[in-house]
Amino acid sequence: MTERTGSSQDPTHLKRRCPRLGHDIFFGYCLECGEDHSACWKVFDCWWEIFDVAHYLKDRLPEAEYRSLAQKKPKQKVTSILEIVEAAKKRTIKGSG
Amino acid sequence: MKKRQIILSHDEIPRQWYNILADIKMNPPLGPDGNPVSPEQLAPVFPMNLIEQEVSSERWIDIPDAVLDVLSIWRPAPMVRAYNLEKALGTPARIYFKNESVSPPGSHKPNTAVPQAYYNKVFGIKKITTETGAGQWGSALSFACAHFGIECKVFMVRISFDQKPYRKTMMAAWGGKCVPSPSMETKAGKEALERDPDTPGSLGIAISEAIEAAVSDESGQTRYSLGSVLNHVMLHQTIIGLEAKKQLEKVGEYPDVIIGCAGGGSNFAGLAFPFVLDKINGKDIAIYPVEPAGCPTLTRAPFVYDHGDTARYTPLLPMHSLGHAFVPPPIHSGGLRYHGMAPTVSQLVNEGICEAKAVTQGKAYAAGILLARTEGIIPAPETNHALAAVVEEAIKAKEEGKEKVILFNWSGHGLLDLSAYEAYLSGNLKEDIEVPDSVLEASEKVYADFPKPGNLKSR
Repeated sequence: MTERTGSSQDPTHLKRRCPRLGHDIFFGYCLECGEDHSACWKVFDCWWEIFDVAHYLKDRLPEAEYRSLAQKKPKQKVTSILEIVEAAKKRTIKGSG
Repeated sequence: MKKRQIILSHDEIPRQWYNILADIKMNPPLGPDGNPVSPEQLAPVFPMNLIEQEVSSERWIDIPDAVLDVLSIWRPAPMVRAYNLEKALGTPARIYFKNESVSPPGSHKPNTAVPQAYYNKVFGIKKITTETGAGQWGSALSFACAHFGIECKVFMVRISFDQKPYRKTMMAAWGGKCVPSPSMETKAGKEALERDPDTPGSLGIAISEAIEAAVSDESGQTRYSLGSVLNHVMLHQTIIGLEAKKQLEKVGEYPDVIIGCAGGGSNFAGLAFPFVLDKINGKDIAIYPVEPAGCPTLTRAPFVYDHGDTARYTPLLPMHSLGHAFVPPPIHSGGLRYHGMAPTVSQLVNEGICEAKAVTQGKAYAAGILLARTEGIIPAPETNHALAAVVEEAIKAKEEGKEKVILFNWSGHGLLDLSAYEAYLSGNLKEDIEVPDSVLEASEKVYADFPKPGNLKSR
């Protein structure tokens, strides 16, 4: 659920329950908890009903970054697991070398 | 006294899981190289016996006795006739639910955590790693590992670790070792902390840590575990629907409508898949996975002629639209919007066997409160979405004067998740999703010079 807290001018202080984590988070967290500190891929899903998140992000992100976020679909779970395995193996080899 | 609960005896517990992969066609998952994933590629993360289940197309798979032994702590789970809800709504519908909140961790999650721990044990694995947010899955896996003498390591997202102290205590009580992520225990964690020592963490980092901890164990005795999305998880959850079928048979009922909330898909799949088999074989059942409401283009927007594209290249079409200048994220288009959904559930929606429903946040919490006050259990927030759809269907049955049988899955209780209820009850939450008038007015201005469609009816 969404809680009306903080300034209405600054949505980073809006709070709602994150469906992925299962507890309250501030919108500000959603802006940086994605890959490489980017916004979460569910940011539109979660916030469009609270305020115009699409325009908020469009105003603040470079065009390419906004487009990439808006069009982002998470990979199939198995695919992403295998990618993480590959990354973990590389990290481990790099660390021991 | 009314007979509310339909109870199966211990010897009536299902002995096999139902595997939907025997009855539907699926595109194979693709690896990072774009080729179909082979079982061997998954071997560093999962034990081979679970990988075999992941790719199996056998319709029925035996549930090992050792698994049933642990499941029998709370299974067969009760089926409950929701008499009080029926009365409150004045509906002729007969409403039943599977009560999955009775498991020790309080949700449906241990239905797969237990077999996963068992198959790992049989394969010789000594330690299982996983990630968790608020800790529902971490708790379930800790509970399961305790029963098979396996070490359980849970990487809990830092922000969740700080906000949910009781969950980590639950994990610890069952012997699970819960560490905040990023941690100094993995290279992925160290890198994240080097970048930002105060980082609140993320699920992405926690998953990386859990997988790294598994694949970097040179003894080969550590594996990773996932509580949703994958085929073997859906398989293990079908015990819910298989029990439900037996329970309804006992009272001479069969559902017209089946409802479950669709997060990663597993609690919905658990209840629905055994009935999907019946539907494939000709039964007339409506099966609804329910998710949070999406973009309001159909429900709140004006019915106008509009271009289908922002560039206005396409012809004018009559549609509910917030305007061609409004840019709803493409992730909202069609089907289940949550692409983290189990591929099997997505496939069933794509084929029209299941029909995705969406409910607003306000309606979900209102339904949760209604159910708490009528049936007594405070629902997990995820469950509330299914409950809202149940209320909607029951009211529809009343309006149509139909004695429908509605079956839904009460996937868990919300006793460790009360902050959202606190906000709802104190009036600090938005009651319902509203598209601001300013947005609608601005959208309508766009159509000032456009022709207006008539509201035609075919019949």
